[in-house]
Amino acid sequence: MNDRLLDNWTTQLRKGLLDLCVLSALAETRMYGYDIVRRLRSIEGLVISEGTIYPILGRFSRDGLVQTVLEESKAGPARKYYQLTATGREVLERMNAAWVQIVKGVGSLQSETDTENNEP
Amino acid sequence: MLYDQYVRRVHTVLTAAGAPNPDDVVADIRDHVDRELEGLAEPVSDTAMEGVLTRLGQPQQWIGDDQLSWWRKTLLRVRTGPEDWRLAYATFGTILLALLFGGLLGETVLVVLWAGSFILARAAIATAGESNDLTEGQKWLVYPSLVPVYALLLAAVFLGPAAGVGDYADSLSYQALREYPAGDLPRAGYYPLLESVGITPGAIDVRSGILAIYAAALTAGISWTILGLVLLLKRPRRLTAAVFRPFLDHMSRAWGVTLLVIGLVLLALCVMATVAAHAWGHHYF
Repeated sequence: MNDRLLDNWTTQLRKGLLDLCVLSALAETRMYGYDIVRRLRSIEGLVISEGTIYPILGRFSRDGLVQTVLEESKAGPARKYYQLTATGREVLERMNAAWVQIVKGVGSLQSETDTENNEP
Repeated sequence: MLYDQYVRRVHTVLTAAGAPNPDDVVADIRDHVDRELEGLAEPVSDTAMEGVLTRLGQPQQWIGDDQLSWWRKTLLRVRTGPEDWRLAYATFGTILLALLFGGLLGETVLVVLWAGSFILARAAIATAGESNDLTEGQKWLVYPSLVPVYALLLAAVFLGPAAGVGDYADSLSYQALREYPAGDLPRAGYYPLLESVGITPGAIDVRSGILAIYAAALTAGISWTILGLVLLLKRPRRLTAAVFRPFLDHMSRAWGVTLLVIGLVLLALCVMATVAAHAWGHHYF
């Protein structure tokens, strides 16, 4: 039962964070889909199925958070790059603000718990 | 082959799930696989391809249940699995057909479809996992096929012998009434048995029902005592649990003890009734 609870919790946590991480990966520069996957797979515990990234990019594209740019490649067929739109940047900013708030709140809760546990 | 099957599966799952731009996602997946396998000699080995596809994961894992409406969830499960859900839907579909068309096309069709539904239900339970744990939704789909069959089996085992003997005893006493409506019963065959429990010619028509009940109770007492003793043993319990999966998965020795006690109590009551009938039979009637 506890394993199932933990599995569900970590799955939900990853789902929420992946959206933020995909947008964050695109914050500095436009990227090729595969490069986004390579960037995120280096974050331990975040990406269980690498294919998850692509439907997220499809959803962001539908919702106007990212746009795709086709660029001719000398090495082979044209490559599709993803870049943030203005809407995407705004959403990223708000997500970051929410994330900072949550991390701060959870951090303070954990500090209180540690203090109570260390009291004689 | 492996790659083509995977790509088809991706497209099927994303389309069934109503995901936006499935063709674009498939194009991205193709690109991903090409980049991962860049530099490897062609033809690419199955092992290398499997590694890439394993890291990509199954497309069903990419779509969260909370993103799907209930009918898309159903459609996705029917088209792509997992197998326990597909079997659960097939079970329910078959039993609906049995109920809808069994009445129109005859009992044979009803029985055949219900038998098919029962087999599918057992297959769904078997594929649900090591713990044979169905989800709540799967239970609603699968149990209607199982419950009537199990109820019939249990009735046959627990009540069948008692009902059969009781019915036979009832027919015997009516036969005696027809053959000897007013005279004394002969001292042969089963007639002394009737007298031993207080059945006399004048009272047969009134007490034949009591004889049937007595015979049924005695048979139930004997059969439940035997069943209780058998269920004290591990192997018969495992077999019983396997037959009535998943309802009796956690059957314990206590079930055997309970049945044994009930059987013995019934036997004791029958013995007391016999003694009372001998002692007070004619006066009582």
